[in-house]
Amino acid sequence: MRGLSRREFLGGAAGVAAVAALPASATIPSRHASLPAGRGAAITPVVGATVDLASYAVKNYLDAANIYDGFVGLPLATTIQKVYMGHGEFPPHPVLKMTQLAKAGCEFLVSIEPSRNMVASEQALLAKWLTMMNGSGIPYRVALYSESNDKAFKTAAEWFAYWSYYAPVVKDAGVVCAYDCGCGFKALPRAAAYFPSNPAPDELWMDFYATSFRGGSRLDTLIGLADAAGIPAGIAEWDWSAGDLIFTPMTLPWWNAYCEYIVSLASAGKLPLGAIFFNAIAKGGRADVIDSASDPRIPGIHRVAQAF
Amino acid sequence: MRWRPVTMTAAAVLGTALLAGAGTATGTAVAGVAGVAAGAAAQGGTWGTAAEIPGSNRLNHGGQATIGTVSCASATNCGAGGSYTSGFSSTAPIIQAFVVNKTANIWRTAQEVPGTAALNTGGNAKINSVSCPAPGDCSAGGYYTDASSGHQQALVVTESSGTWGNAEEVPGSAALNAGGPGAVILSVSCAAPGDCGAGGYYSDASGHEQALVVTQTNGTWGTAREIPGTGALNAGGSARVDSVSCGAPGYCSAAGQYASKTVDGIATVQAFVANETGGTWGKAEEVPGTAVLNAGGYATVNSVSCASAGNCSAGGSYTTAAPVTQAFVVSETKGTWGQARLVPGSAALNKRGLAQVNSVSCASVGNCSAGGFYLDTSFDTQAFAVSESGGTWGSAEEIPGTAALDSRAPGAMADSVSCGSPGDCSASGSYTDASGAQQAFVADQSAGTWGSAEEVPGTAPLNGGGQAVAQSVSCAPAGLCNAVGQYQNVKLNTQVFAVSQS
Repeated sequence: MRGLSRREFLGGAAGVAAVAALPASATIPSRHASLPAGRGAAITPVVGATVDLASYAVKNYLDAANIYDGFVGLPLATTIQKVYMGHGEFPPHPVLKMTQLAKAGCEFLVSIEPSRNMVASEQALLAKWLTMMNGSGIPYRVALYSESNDKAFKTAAEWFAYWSYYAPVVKDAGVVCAYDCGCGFKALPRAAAYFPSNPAPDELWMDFYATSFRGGSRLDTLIGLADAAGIPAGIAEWDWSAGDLIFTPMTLPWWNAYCEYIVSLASAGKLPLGAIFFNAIAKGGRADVIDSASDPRIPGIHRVAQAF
Repeated sequence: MRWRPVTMTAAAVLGTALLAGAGTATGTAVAGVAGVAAGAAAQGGTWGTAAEIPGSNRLNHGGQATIGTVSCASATNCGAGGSYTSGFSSTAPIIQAFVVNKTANIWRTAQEVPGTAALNTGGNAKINSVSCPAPGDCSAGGYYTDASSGHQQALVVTESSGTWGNAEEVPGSAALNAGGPGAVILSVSCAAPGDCGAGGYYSDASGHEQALVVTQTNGTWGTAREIPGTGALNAGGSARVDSVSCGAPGYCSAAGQYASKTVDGIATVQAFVANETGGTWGKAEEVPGTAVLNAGGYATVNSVSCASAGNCSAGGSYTTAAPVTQAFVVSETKGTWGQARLVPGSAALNKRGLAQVNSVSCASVGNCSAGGFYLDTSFDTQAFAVSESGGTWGSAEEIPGTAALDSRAPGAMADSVSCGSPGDCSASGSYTDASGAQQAFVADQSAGTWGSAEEVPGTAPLNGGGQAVAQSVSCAPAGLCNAVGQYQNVKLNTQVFAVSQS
């Protein structure tokens, strides 16, 4: 697992007290995620965790990341996080989350949502933002419209038109352009149907929660599509609940089985990109937040992290 | 990330057994009868064609009906219950409770539970469990919601000589039920007409669920109470009764779960049993043996069935330190619970660390069957059954035929088992076909051997939306069986069905 060996990490330290145990990297890697060299290129999985500020009521993303990492006992939130840009949001500077965490050596999977008004000026805005990001030295890759298969695009044709309009702009900037799909019980069939091909994505990332696993969602078909396209796969969001009320409440036995499933995929080399835990408050709920070092989910998080 | 919010509480985490609760009521309901009439001729009927329960579509304007319980005093006389959506308010569907009877071998018209129109001002009511010890004599339990508090309230209703009385709030539950989400009856079992036990939970002022039991004597429901001892066990803040079975009037057993600890909203869960003797509930105890087995902190009892007073069997799951969740059974003999034990043969089936018993049914003392599920190597659930003969549990087996029916995740599951006589049982549940649609199945055991599962006849054309399950099965003593369930039609409305053997 990337990052584990480069820190003298005090596993089990909890809370803010653990922050001091996580020495921040003094340098920012001067690279973005380059386009893959092609089939067979060696890929090192990255295992991380996305953490929001509200989870721990702090004002600095690095503090939040260190609290999470302290609870879990692994340096996940300072390794890779997912970032969510708003619709049409392309600020002139990297967002605060990225600048604060990049100092600790964190890299990012950035979900961007260029305007649904597919006009040249929007492509230009995107290209300008990519140029700015590439110049920032912050390591990142792009997920073009995270979970586009869920509800945002009513038809695959609508999505494919959008993908074909903006993905080339990302690729032309030399940045990895990923397809990041939701894998809920109802969204999963659309995840396969929405798999783009023109141009082909550089990576497949999947948002896959334990409630979806309990409901019957499995990733094998999507991974097969990625294999056929010659691209690597990873999990961009995983945790307790995606809010699928049909198959909630979740239980520890199902959580354990879910973790075992991810471990089996990782062990088989089917997730070469790695996995990113999702630790955030969603619409007021704390179901996905790790609140202490004794959270019953932590052993499962360790099993998954160690499988890569 | 785009989703709907989930409020995760310790109480909610405990709620998993709701998914398995359908079998509970069936097993218990039949057991009370079976204890009286065990040992008669073997069953072995042929399943007829499933049909929508008469009148249910007329009630179900909102298109979301459920049914989770059936109980048959004879092959031709049953009771069942569930919920339907009568319409929509400005903010939510309006859910009503219904009961339906089969009399003289004909499923009659479903009806709103009498009296619930006045009680259910909050628009959310349901029957969770029905038990029929004699034709035309049933009792049922569930909940309604009052608008003033917004809390669920526990309800019971009794049918006498073929006529359902008015639903009533469980006596004494209002005093116990001080917070949200409220009080619910999850399981009812009757040893004789008017002599029943029921269990569920209420919510204390802190919003924690507490285990509730109540006894009906000579047709009158007594005062609900917390099961003695569960308050002390329940350090993690939630407890509930998932299953009740009565071997004789005043002699019932209750089984459930309590949270011994809750961290970050996730409970460490333990399994308990409690016995009623001569109308008095004794102290709850952790299921013997599970303290050692459950090092991983999640054990539940999903179903209990009593063949006679003080002679019961129960089943559920425990979680090892590994962690691996295994299915267990435990038996009570002459009022004393033995040690929980791993379901023989289930560990070999359980390739991915999750198995549990959903339903137990005892036709006579020492002669029971149980059903549940395990995860296969592909992480799909598979349905299993296991039988006890002469006090010895055999080896669990995948229900024959379900492997051929089931093609993909989530897989197959036995939700309910019911035994009409020793070695003669039926199981019901669901499987996932090659298209990903969930289908309902039934399977029959005859003379100790399980036959091949089949899709419930007639559900294929009904289930255009691909979400069918046979939630509950009930076999009359030494007789034929009936099953109920739900399906989703092409308009994606959920409707309820019944199917009978002949």
